[in-house]
Amino acid sequence: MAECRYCELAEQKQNMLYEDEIVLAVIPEKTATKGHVLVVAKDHHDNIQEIDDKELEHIFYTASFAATSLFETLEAHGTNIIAKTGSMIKKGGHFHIDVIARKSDDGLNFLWTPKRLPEEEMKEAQGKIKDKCDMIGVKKKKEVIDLDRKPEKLESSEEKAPEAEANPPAEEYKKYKKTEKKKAKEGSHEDKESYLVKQLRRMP
Amino acid sequence: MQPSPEQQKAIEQQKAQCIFCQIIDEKIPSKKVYEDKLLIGILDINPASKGHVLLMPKEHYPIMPLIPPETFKHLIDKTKEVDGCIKEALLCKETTIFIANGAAAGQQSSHFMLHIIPRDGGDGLEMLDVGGEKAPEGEIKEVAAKIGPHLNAVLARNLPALGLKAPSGTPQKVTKEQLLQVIESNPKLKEIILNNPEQFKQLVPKHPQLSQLFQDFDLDDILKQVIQKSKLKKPGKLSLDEALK
Repeated sequence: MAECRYCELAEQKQNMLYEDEIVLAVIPEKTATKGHVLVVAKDHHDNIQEIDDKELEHIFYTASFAATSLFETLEAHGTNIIAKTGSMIKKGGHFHIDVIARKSDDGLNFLWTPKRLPEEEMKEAQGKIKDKCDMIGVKKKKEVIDLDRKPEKLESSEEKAPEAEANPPAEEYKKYKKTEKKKAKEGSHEDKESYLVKQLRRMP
Repeated sequence: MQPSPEQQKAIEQQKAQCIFCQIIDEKIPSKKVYEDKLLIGILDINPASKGHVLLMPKEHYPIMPLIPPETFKHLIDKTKEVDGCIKEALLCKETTIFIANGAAAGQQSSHFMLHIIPRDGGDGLEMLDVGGEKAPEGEIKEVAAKIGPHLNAVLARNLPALGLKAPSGTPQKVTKEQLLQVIESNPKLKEIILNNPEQFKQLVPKHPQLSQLFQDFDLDDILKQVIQKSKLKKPGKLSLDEALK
């Protein structure tokens, strides 16, 4: 891509912090705070869906460790990790992630004003997205669709979920859940409620 | 990144009060769009835009750097897929992935989550389009000298654990100050040095990464400085503590 400024950046390697075969971490020309790292994929992808799983993991892992570095070397109070997944809005594509060190009093605000959508609209969005998401993991198996088969129960989404790779952690999670339930029985209930009220009132 | 025992305790306390842990346990209703063994995706009840999804591990992790590798990989793979589903379902071409680690970054719940926010031109969410100002040259150099060596060290150590390729080629030359900084920001390494410097000296030549890191330096001198530094300075409060609040 001749005119992509991120491709250019990946070649110039200005203010480079880290480089390997897949990604580059640099300090961008314009920084949002003192401690702004730009993680750029070396290959040009306009859209996150074009990126191979392993490559995407690698890019995000680099971003996550950039956040770790900001915490540990710049004593950031917080970090933001922000990425655009397509190329529709401004500046063209080329997948990149901004990792930004935050301090409590830096005056920066990325937070949106929350919308209140009517219940029907929320339900409509949920239905549409869930229908698509229910196909995750199913698509890969390329099952022959048997029209005579009885429709699956809605609750079976857990069985449909991707298997193998997630197995051992899931076992651990079950164990943790058991111990956690015990703890919850002994634990305080009033706290939970006050937190709930806080959550419901949350407005940036 | 490993939490200290104190931080671990703080995390346990957070879990007991976490509204998202209760949503995951189905004690509180939610608008679920995706679920598997490790993750759950729900609609944000106060969305930035229609179809704003919160994707999170079921286990309570306060910030992204504390998510273990297996879950991390799974989260990223599914982020891509769920993001694709949102785009297809809502006929939308663009989303913004937003993560806040710590209250200072705008994190409103102690349960780590990844926001997928559908975007459209002129949607009034321009605050999510990261901008900035030209930083002074001195500042860039100062920040790069601090982050660079640390980032190189942590990635070289952690990428293989994820089954990903560690950087090939020679790592950047580090200065003595940078090396001390690396030790300073690595509590485990520092502990070994402080508690048992002799044993550490024997360990270095046997350990490929350590021997590479220390090859250009006088080991005795470095160890002396680390020990001196720790005597001068009381252990500072880790900024992670701040994030866990």
